[in-house]
Amino acid sequence: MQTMTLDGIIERIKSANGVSDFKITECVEHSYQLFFVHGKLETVRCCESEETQISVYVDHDGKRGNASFSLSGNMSEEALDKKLKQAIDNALMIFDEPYSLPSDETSDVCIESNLSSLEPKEAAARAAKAVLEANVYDDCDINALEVFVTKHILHIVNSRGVDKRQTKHSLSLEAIPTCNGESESVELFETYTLAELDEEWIKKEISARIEDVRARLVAKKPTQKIDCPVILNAYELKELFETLVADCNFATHYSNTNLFNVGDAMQSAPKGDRLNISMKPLVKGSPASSNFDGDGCGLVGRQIVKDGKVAAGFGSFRFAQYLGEIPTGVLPCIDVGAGETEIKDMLAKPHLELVYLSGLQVDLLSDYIGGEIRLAYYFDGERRVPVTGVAMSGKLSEALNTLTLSKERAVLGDYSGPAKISLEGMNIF
Amino acid sequence: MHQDLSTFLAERREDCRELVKELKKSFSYVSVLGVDAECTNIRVTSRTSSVSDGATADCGFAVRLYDGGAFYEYSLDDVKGDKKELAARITAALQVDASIKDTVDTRPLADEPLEKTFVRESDFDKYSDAQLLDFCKVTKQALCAKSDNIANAVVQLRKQRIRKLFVSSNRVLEQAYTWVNGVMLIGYREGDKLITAREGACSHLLGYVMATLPSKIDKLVDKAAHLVHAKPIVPGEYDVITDPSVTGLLAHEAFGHGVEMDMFVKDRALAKHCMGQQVASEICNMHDGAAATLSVASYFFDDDGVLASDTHIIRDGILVNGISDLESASELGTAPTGNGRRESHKRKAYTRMTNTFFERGKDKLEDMIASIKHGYMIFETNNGMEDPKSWQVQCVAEYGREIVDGKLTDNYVAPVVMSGYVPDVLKSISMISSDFEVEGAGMCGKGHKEWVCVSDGGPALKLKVRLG
Repeated sequence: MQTMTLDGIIERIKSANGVSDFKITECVEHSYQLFFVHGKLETVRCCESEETQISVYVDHDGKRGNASFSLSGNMSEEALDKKLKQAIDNALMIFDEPYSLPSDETSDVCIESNLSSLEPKEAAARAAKAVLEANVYDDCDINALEVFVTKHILHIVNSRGVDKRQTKHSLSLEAIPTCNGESESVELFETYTLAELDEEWIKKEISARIEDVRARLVAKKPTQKIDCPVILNAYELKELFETLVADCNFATHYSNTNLFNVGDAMQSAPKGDRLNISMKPLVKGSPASSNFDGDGCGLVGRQIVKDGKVAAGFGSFRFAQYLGEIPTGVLPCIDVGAGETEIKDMLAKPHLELVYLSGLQVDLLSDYIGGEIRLAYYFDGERRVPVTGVAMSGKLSEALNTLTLSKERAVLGDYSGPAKISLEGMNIF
Repeated sequence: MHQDLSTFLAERREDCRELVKELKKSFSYVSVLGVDAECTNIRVTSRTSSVSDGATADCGFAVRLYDGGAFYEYSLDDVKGDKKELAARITAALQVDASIKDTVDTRPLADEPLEKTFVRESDFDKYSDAQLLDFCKVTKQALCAKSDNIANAVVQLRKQRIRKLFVSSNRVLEQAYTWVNGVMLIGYREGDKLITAREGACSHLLGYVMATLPSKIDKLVDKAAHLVHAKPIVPGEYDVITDPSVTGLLAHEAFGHGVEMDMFVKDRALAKHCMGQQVASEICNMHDGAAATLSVASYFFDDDGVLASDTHIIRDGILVNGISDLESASELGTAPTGNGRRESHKRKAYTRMTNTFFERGKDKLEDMIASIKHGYMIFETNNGMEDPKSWQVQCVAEYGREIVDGKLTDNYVAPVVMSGYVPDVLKSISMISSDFEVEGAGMCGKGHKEWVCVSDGGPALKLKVRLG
């Protein structure tokens, strides 16, 4: 808990010599957490935290320097003055190109969520019940479950008239569905961060994962080489598109580490669906949604990939200025345009549908996509069987040319877009 | 030169004692962990510079309560003020919904008497941030001067000053130590190809890191010049030699996570049923422990107030021990090993690895390379993923170099994903080099969260494994 008021902090900063601009970021977190082992309560946690970060900007020698530090709750005015002086000295050693801060924007918003009207302990208990009751099999169990119900308050104030506050709620779940066979036991690892409590969705989702873990128990390593399109689900798509959009960030361009420029084709010779990707501030159901970024810059959505070609960049107020672009703010939500193929049609053709990977490796610079497959469903045109013990790899650039996007959509974390995407040319071994 | 303990924590020591005393009226076990961790990132790139707090900066308290059944924890920024009021606030906040009735079976938490202060040598006070920033600038300039192909260069020092206080009814422990990670990273362009390459150095001493990083500039640029021509590997099973970094990743992912004993409690680790069994070739020995070596995860006591140790996990190929935090030890009826760690005072303590490594062997690296007709030596950890339940493992190395007829060639492949069934991989280890290196630049998550600093390493290993 801060002992100094915001006004008091601002006063100390203003009285420090040499500060051209400043930004104060306050993060407040109230969290209630439950941890279960085999359905029994193991740990109850509460977290009450307030953190303040101060950034000072110093104009000198035609350049701008900045430095930041945390203000701990116990800090005295004298200690703050000392930290400020050190930050100013550090900023004087930094010779970055000049830039301005966002200005004259104020807002106080609460991102809508049914969690705001629930007692955290009730929301946590209901979420836990939904997960634990999803299992109806004697040979299955939720071996471990963690539930986090959190209220986040972010408040940003700067010297140019920005004063923005945002309140968000989130529900995070980590569940380990497990299936116990006669000689073997297998599990899946599932993690979700949700913007709402939707017990029916949770039950349905966990039930589906329990069916998957039952499949994992009987999954076998294929006896013959598999050669067919690979279908990615939302977990993998999140990884894939996070990598792709990072290349369009103004900061990446300013550091000269981008692969694509505006007008370049991400899909060089598309034989399938073309990609359309937008960055957005708010997506319903996405816990990443936000009204402003870490600079307090209001967010403006932008389409960054159109028909497979890079259409625009996006990014912070500072790096937009450096590049002579219109700032969008650091947009948090990735929105990928859906296709026209229904999932049932996608699944009707031979395919390998990934359910659980060690972790999808996507490397734009090495032109690589791949990973170890822990559970997938292989459909050879007649039979759908669970498989395990194989890996896949391929050239990312070639895979992007072969996409089939599902008509149905999904939201997962910062990703919203086709629920499934099929790609071809992967080496499964 | 020694460093100071935390003034803030020293000022709160009595508050912690009083809070423990107050809460003891309602709970059989009470402890308070105080954290005052500074982390400063000093970063210079080709076009920007910054000095800011790093992700591991942390200041606050975690209160643990136990009275049979479940454990209770409350994280807060400060413990100053009326203790009766604070204790009532904590107790009220930790109420559980009436619908939840069953709790796990636990045993009382040990609270052996001990009062001790631990301080490690540090040279942090010899260098101002301005000096460190200057070092980064000079090193960046030296790096950029090496090649016109360097599109971006980054030199970063991340210095951490960790200070912790642990107070329970019978224990008062304090510790202070430092660690610094230095890294040089370049974006290297040739034609339309762009790659990244890195070199690093880490130590408890800034002076060591500042002396070591510049000596690796030529190696870094040479590596980048090769990597820009790296080809994809042809997937398949190969004879492979791992460098110490990848050896460490294998130790960490293959058996480190699998012997975290909170995974035993949850029946999430096959290792629980394999104690005393052979799980690796008989020339393999593996350790974990904050006291096992000096690296980024070396501390004197863990976040449960348990003293650090060196756990011998695999002895001559046999799985002999796991690692545990206080809670999982309470649930299993075993002794904690000093592996209870939190991402911050705001997060739960779990059983976590610290410094994890294979012991050195007797072979010479050149003999190991000479023994391979066709294979790869693979270098530098990128990331990995464990599967303690089914013993699958995936380790991603930054690059590999082809070995042909017993010679290490300049045929680079990247990236390299190594995967397989853990016992098959570990039992295939046929040679272990006599050199040894532990790298302390990594972060490890539990699942996809709870990030803590870890080190891992060891010697070079020769094994047979699937690469893709």
